[in-house]
Amino acid sequence: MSFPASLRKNLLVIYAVYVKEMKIWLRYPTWILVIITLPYMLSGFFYVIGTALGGPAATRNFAEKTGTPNALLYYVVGSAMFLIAALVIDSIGGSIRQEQYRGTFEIHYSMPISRVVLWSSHILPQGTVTFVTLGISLVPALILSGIPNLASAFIGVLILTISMIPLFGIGLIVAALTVRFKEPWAVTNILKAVISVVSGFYYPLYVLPAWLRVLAGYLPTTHAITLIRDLLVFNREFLASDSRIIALVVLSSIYFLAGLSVFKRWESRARRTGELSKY
Amino acid sequence: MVAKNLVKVFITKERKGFFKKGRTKKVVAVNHVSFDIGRGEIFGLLGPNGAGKTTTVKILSTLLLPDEGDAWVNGYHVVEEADKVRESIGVSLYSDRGFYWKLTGRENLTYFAYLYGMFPSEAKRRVEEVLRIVELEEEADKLVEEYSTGMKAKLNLARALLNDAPVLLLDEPTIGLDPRSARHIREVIVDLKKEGKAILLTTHNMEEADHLCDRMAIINRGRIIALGTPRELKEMVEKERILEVEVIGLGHRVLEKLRSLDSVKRVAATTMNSVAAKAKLKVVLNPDEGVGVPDVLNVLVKSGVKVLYARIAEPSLEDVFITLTGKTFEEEEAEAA
Repeated sequence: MSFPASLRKNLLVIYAVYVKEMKIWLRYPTWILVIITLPYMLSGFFYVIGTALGGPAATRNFAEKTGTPNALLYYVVGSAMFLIAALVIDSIGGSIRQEQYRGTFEIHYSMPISRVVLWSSHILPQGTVTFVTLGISLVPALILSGIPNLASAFIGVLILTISMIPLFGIGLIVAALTVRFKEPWAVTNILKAVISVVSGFYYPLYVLPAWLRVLAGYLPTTHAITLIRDLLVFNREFLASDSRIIALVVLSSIYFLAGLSVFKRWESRARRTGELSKY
Repeated sequence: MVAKNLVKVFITKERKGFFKKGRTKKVVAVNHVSFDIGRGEIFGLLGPNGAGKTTTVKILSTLLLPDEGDAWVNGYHVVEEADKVRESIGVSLYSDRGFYWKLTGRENLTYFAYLYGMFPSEAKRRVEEVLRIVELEEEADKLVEEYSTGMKAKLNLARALLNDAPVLLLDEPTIGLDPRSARHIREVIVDLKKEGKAILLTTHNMEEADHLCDRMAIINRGRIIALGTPRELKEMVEKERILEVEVIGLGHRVLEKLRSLDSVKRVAATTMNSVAAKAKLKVVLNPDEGVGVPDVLNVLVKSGVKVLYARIAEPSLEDVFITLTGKTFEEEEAEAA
């Protein structure tokens, strides 16, 4: 089979990045434990705070406000989504920053490859890692909650993975800001805080003020978490025509393209100012 | 490869104290640099640190856009046909950076081979070839984090060879290497020249430049101050009588005393061992003013400086630089800083 030259080159870039990233991920094995256990640790943390604040009526209040008495699953799913957001936003900016420190960042710009394909390819290994680890992470919560519907669980994890695309776009914007200002943590922490407060990972959105709910509508994470909860916590059927799926797809495209556009603008500036090599 | 009137200016900002911003300075890193390099030629850019060598390489490898001027690599314009240029070059930018530490040498090279558009079987074959060329087969399966500086330099050169490009841009390929590793890398570079590749080599090692380069440009503060074959450059100072003295305990006052002698045209000092205060003096003697050598030695001995040896030296590229700038590389770097 013969490929057109440009398609062949781009596929090889995607393959190269996938193999390289997966090897590096697997050579730092402790992160697997962290990703699998963190949703439970975060859930326990919020459960205890909720019980302390709500007293004996906390569980009943929770069920009234969220529509489910299953706080464990509600929180674990929310924590998984929060972790994805945090991981993707951190890792794009962080990994580009690491590439700068290592000197591997600049060397890619002397090679005949599409940088858009190169940096976008990082979604795939990141997606694999997320899909596998959070899939494993959700299993105990689903079993404890007595939900045997594996198809729903699979679609839920798939939605979690798809929701990485817009986050990747945000990550690229963060990366451009990071390599420009050499300070990734301030930007990423503010972004993560805003996303975690507004997306409704740990509470229903109607507890938020109206203006924050409007802002929530523009965040892909809000739609992703609602879809996943519908599937896994409320046992609703997955409908491809759901307006939230359309919103998620539209927002994915917008955020991803915006991220690429900001990053490309930064790149051309960096070739003028010499920022590619600064670290 | 042709560079024509290349200019690159950087803006640097000074910082003072906690909050105060200092001056914004314009640094002319490359100032109307022009040269051309043919196939099967090693062209050297020789100059002290900060002279503009790396900036020139980065413009030619499309990593930097020039502010003025033009350049063509393998017939392609570095700004307008950047992708074609990237297909035509092999670049070695750092001697010990630019790799994934958690991957082995072989895995690193294979990754970059894929990026050059090689299918796995082709990549495997080419990686084996370049590992053999740089003599790194034995260490190929170690993680790069375990590599010595010399091994990383070899790996860097191996990566530059992966795509078998007709043009090689090698930025200080032997910096920080032990003599054996440096010698091997020089041998590889000579072999590549024999294959017909056009090679731009930057270095601040004068002996390396003298030994390797067919032609070279001496660059200082962004400007090319001399260009020619090593022989042509040395002919510029052949009429000079140069006294080379190795000493211990040299101070500023002694240097000033030497400079004030009628029989001395210029004096430049290079530190050889800062702990032992050992230095090498290059004294350009004035042929019209007496013998000179006894005057110089007299000043040194009377000032309490220990003279280890003294000889009338053959002109070297270092002498060319001293003649043109009045300073050694070391003095130039200290002044520029």
